[in-house]
Amino acid sequence: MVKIFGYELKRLLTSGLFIAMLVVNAVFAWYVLTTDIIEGVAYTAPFSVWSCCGYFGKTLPLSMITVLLLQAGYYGKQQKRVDILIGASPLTYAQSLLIRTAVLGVCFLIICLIESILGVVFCAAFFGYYGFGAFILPTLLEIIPCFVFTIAVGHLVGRFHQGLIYVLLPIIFISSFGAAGAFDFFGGTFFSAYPMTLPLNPDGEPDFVINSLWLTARLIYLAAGTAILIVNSALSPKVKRA
Amino acid sequence: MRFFSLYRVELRRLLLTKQIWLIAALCLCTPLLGYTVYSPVVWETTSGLYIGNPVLAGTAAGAILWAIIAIVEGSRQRRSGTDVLAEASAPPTAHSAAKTTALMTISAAVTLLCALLYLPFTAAKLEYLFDAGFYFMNFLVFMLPTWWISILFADGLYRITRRAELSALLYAALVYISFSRFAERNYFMQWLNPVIGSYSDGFPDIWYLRLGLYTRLVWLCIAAGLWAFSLICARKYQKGLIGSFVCGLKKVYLPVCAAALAVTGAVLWNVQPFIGNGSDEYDLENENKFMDENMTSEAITTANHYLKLDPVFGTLSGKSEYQLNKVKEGENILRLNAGYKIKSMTYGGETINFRTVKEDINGQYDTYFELPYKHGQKLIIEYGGYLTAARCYMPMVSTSIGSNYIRMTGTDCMPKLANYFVMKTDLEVTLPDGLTPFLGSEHKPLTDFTDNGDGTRTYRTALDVDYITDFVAGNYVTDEFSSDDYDFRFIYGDIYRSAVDKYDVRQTICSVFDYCTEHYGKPLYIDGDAFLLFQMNSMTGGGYAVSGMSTWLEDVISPNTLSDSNRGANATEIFIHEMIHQWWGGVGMWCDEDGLWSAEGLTVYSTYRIVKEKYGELYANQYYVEDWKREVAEQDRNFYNRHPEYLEKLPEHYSEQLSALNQSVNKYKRMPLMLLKAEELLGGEEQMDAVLKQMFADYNESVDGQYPVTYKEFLDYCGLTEEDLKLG
Repeated sequence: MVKIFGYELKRLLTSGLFIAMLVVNAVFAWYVLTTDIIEGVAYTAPFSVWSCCGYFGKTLPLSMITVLLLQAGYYGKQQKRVDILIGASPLTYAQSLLIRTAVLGVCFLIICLIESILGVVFCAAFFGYYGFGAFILPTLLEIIPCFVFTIAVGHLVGRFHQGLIYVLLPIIFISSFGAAGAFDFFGGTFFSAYPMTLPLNPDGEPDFVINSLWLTARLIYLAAGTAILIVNSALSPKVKRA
Repeated sequence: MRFFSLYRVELRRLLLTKQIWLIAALCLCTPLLGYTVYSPVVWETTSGLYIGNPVLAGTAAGAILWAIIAIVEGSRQRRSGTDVLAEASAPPTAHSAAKTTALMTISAAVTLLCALLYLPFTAAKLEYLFDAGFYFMNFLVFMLPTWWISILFADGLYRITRRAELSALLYAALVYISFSRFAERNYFMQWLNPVIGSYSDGFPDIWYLRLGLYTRLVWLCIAAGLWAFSLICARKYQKGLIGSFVCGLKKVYLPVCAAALAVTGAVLWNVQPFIGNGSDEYDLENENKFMDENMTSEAITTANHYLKLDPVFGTLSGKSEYQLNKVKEGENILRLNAGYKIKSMTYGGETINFRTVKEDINGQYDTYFELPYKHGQKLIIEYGGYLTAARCYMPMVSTSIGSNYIRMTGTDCMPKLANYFVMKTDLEVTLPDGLTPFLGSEHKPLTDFTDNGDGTRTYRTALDVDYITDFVAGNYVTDEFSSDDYDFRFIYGDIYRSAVDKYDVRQTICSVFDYCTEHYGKPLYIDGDAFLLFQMNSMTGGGYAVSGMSTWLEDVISPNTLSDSNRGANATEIFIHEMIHQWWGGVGMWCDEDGLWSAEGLTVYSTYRIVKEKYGELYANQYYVEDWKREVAEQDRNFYNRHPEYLEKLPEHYSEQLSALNQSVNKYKRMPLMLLKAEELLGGEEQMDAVLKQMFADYNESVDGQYPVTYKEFLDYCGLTEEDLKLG
């Protein structure tokens, strides 16, 4: 299983689509940093936790679109022909799904890592700021539920038709303009609006707090995504051996 | 015939490649850069914003994309190792020409698609100002030829070097030259990024299109010359560059074509009539010296000028006759637009020798001549040519001869004699019949005309002036109406007629003038009760006022201005704002702008007061005071305003952006709020009006208001301090 994971990962990481989209993501992330985040999210410092969450809120839609494009490759005609061979292996459908999810997860994390490195370079070069410890937890809370939910829905609809994954792309794009308050899927809009409602500290900025409603929403997305993944693997037909 | 069959094959092949579709798709996206990150048009009118910027962005970015595909396609056969086979099966010259022509054909189709794609959005943004012809002309003049130039350069460079990375590097150097500081004031060097200073919305002028077309023609010749040269360098018989070049010379037509094209480009560049070759700075000293000589002259004369304008080619043909009472001994000087050539000069029927010194002074040449010492004869000067723009004013061009708009100033119309003072000037001017002409800084209309029956009219007038300072002709309409205090003559572009009706502009003018006169006093330049309001083409870049008239720029009523929420809550209120500039800033009281204290702030405050009187306190508070408070609070919350030390760490571009934003908030929001506070501290609106009225009156009385009013002076009038007006 580890071996197949390695092969799958290598195949995806060396694909032209991933490399091209990685470059596009990096360019877009730098554009967001230097045109939007540089002003500071909700008038806070560009290196505040609010700005960090706002930054990922704006870059996540493109990251998720990239992951969905990669995921669509698993449900293409060519892949279906390969699936017959995979079906001949001792790998179960659930294991195969897990491997694919893990491979896509690594791709997603690489994109996020590149974006994080750009963010670090941005904060260090422009503002001489290096205290990134406080950014980790809110960032993980923001990106992981997004990934799990999207990938789960992607697998679910991909089972029926590859084209349905492409239908998800404009939905992702539209939801990036999110107006769902704490349930804002990517958080871009939420992190621009929520700090404006908080009291200011003596420095004139709101202190960072994890809003309980937002936290609940993240957990719901995570739980829903996990549930869809489990149901999807459980409902799958058993792989018939030749 | 071989060429056409190869062309069909290449075109079909290219259309079947994925790269060409990708490049085409990216090219269709490039104008979007003009809405966001790339805005080369200097004076941003609505046409500049929604036609100029996107077209120029698409031109530059698209050209680079086409260069990439040209290099990729050029190197394709070599990369696949099929170049030897291809050369054996098809004549290389015809094959290269077919491939390049196919690429240029596809780029032409993409240009058309691009124009069609952005047409609905542009038409919606420009509303009644949209001119489809002008819109498509921009794509055809700027985008298409530049893409072709780029393809020819890239393809030519690859064929010479036969290395993709080297040709890309050389192409990048060409791109750099076009954007470099070296080309910043040398507009003909800008092969990739043609210049547009300003586009008029209501009087669409084709000056920049003419320049763009000419520069594209120059660069097409140069690029085609390089491309033809590259055909000579095409590798043959496994030889290197030099060996192949020597073989290539045997086809005599290739070096002849290359040389002819390059020489044509160079000659066209050299003889260009559009921009003078003078200094980048206005030469005030020389201008004053010439005026002084003119003032000291004693010879008195009368003059007849006959002008014929050709709006298609932008040329003037003129004849000036001077009845000289007395001849000045020695050398005489006349000054004329540098684009005009004196064809002949006679005095009393006798041909006079003259010498034009090709030293450009503010877009003009001086001509020296000596007259026989015979008094009372007639001096006749015939001249003509293309109206040249002075380099010192570039990239803004305020003078032009076009079919929709004509503006000429001073020596653009007629020669200016240094040594003769003209007592009476008779003018006869022939121009297209759709244009209404106005003369002088007062914009007096010419009404006496003869219809020539060939689509032109000849206007005649007699003036008691030495010289015509300003000649404007456009598709104007004149409205006459009265308010309680004034009779207005409102002259504006015919295209704005629907906007004038829709936004009830006449009523707005009346109410603003009556309100402001009552509350702040009568402006100095209003002579008597009749007042002329003249709409100027935005290409002039600024307005002015003289006794009895004031100009206002067409931007005031453009859809873009009327949707700027900084100036008012709706289009009518924004127009009120612009009209109040007759009192504060512009042609009214000059303010010493210090980043906070500004004419804009006073104007926004006065707009609020008029709106309050018109619609009530609740409305004015909701759309003005609450908006000011919110924006000021946001400005105070801004991280960089709280920590200005971080501004220094930012790249200059970002700090400038923030500074511009702060200036805007200071002018449009903070200062009106401070004025409102001053009003409260003074005891109410009446007291505030008394202060502003006094300040305005004193300004008008003080040497015609030559000194700007400072913030400190305003505080002194109020009896307040800076501390008093600080917002808490």
